[in-house]
Amino acid sequence: MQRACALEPTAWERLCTLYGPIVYGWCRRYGLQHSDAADCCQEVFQSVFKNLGQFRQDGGVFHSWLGTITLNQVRLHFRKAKPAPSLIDGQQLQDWLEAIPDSDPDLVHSRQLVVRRTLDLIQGDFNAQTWLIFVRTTLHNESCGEVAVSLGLTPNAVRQARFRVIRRLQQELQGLV
Amino acid sequence: MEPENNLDQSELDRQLAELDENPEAPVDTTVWELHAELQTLAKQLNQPVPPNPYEQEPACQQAVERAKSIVQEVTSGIAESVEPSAEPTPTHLDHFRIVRLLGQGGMGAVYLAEDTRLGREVALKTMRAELAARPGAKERFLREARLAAALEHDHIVPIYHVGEANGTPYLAMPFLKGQSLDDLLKAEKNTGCRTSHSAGHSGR
Repeated sequence: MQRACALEPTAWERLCTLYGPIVYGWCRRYGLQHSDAADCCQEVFQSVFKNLGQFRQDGGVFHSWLGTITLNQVRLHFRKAKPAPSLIDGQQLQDWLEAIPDSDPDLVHSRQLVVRRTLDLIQGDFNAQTWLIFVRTTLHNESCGEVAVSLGLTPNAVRQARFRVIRRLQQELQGLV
Repeated sequence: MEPENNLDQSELDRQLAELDENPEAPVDTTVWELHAELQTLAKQLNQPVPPNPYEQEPACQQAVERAKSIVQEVTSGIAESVEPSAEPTPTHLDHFRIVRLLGQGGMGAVYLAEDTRLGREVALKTMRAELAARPGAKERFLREARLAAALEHDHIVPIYHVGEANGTPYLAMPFLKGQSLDDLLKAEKNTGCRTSHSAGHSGR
């Protein structure tokens, strides 16, 4: 996150890989068609790019901030696509207003998606055994003792390997969700 | 909370594992708190997560690629979109008195200057104020300068000072008296003493 704020290209790419599909999904959920959602998504990331430094200074959770930016950008899209009807027809105006989204996107599900996706992104940073230990103990709920026996390790070594991965995941998620 | 700053990483994992096995284990408070946080995160990982139904749409991948390209457009745009222009030569930048312009490019200019505190000649590399105003550009310039300042090597020009005056980031380096590469190549061509091929470079 800090690297992305410093606009390091690889960190920015990672941020886009992580959050691009989330923002696109939010836009689609708000009712935008495919190409409009893609356009809106780009506008959201342009806004993020411009304001990331300020966001870091102000502090906050990136995920929620991104949700707000997306909602604002989607509203702009709606207004541009369909200008406000004449004030004379109250019903038309009411319909127009109701079509504009007014609530934040679904942050709970998208948070879960970010956690999962981050997990995929860090997998390559661990050796096969460490990763296997993490998957078996944390995702498959096997006890550290069982895993230790099957791999010929001490339970303590298994626990340490497990925490290495979870701790790394937590570090990656800091400031994001 | 970042106990990693104070504890060696493997020691931290060791303490976390110890606490996991024995909740009464004597560990730092920060480790105890971190353990609780990590356990919560681990529990979340157990819950099934429905996939993002829109992720498979071709427009989604296009949107991601377009988002990624924003940073490339901006960083390459900084170097390419700005023509060298005749920016007025400043008279001073902090305690450096500008003597004359040595060279100028799209990114900024290099001046011969006098360090009035130490009374020595320096080369001042500046970034153009309008570029520095772009998001992240100034930070990148200063970060590169700090990285360069951290290096010590016979073949790397040391950095004396990094600063910012009136919105213009700059760095001070030793003023190396010599000649331009053009002049050097011309001189060597005339004497025929050394070419890039004879120096062992293929030039490709």
